[in-house]
Amino acid sequence: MDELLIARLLDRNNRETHLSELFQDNSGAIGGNTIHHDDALLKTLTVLQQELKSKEQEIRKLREVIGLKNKNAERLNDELISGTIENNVLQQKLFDLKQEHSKLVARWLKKAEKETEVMNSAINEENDIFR
Amino acid sequence: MNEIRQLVWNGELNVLVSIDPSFLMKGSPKEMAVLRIRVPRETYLINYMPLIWNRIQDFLSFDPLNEKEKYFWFEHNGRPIRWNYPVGVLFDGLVASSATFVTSSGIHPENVITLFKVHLVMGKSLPSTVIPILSSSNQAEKFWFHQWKQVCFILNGSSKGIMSLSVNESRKFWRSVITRNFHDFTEISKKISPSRPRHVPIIIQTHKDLGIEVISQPTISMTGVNPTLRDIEQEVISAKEIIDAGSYVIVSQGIEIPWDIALFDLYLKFRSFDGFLYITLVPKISVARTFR
Repeated sequence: MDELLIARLLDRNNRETHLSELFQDNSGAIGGNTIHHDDALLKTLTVLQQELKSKEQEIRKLREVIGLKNKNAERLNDELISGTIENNVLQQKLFDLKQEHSKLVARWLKKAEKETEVMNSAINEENDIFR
Repeated sequence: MNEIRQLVWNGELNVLVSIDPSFLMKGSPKEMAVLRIRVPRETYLINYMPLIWNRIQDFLSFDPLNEKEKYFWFEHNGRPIRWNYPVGVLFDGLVASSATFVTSSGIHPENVITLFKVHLVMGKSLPSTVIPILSSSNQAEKFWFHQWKQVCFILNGSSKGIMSLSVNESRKFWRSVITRNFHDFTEISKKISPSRPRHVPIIIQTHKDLGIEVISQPTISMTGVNPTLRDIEQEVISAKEIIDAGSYVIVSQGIEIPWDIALFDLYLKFRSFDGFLYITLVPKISVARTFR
């Protein structure tokens, strides 16, 4: 049994090491051992990273502002539309009232005309009698 | 026995780590986002986090160690990887084709590299199966020590064995994993394993060719008996609700295991560095084909 397992394990190891030269052996670097870096560069890098972070925050804030403004614009637009609708209704009403007004004026004129005619004929009759 | 342990311990994989471009500043050289490393089968992927950070440090668009709003995890072909299992176990379950395990012919086609591709990604929330990767350097060590506590309890019925290790010894135990010191590792792990175990700590996973991912941890009592794998077939298979055991191959440490091996013997020889015996259920090739 053991021989079989050993043979299989050997086979596994052979297969898995095939062309392993292409892969680095990093056993020295695990567990937190690090390699040295240029300090000045690292410092600049942290500064830049912080700057990037603050810029990202700024972007987020500005996005919020944009969102708010968009909402405002939308509300204004809504108000504008409701104003136009109200205006249209009022225009219609005005038109109707004007028509009614002119009708009434015409009727009144007709009535006044009739009255004058009646008065005129009455006056004429009186004149005829006196003559 | 020792020869097998040594072979198991020495197993190493070619791992290709690719880092998602979202980690890097625009204009970073592309070759920085790829690492090709040899990784022992018996270790955790996150032991390589310092190496990975160190490698891309100069091109990172943020500081990953102090970032609280972003999470990182590893993926293989879009599937999140549970780093809390040994690398070899992940490889056996996720990558190796079922053909690999079938009794070898001893012939390796040239120019074929066995490799494990992992992709480091980040996002605003973690996939549900993944334990977050913390910036603290001893996360893996703590997790690993808890695994051993469990193992000790399952084997002995109490965690006394591991809790009575001195501070120096437990440190030496972990160092032996990091520095790949086989001698130290065997010496300390022997103190924890009894000659007559109560139960055997075993974790069973299914191979990706099955399409479904199941992980189970059956309780296998050892009191008064010394079962072979065949004897506990029920427990192993019911882990997967498979009826036909004949169409499956048992794989541990990347090789096919005969069904008639004694379980405790198998455990002692093939257990992983966290004390558990990991078994992968792999469908035989013909079955795998009909499944697809």
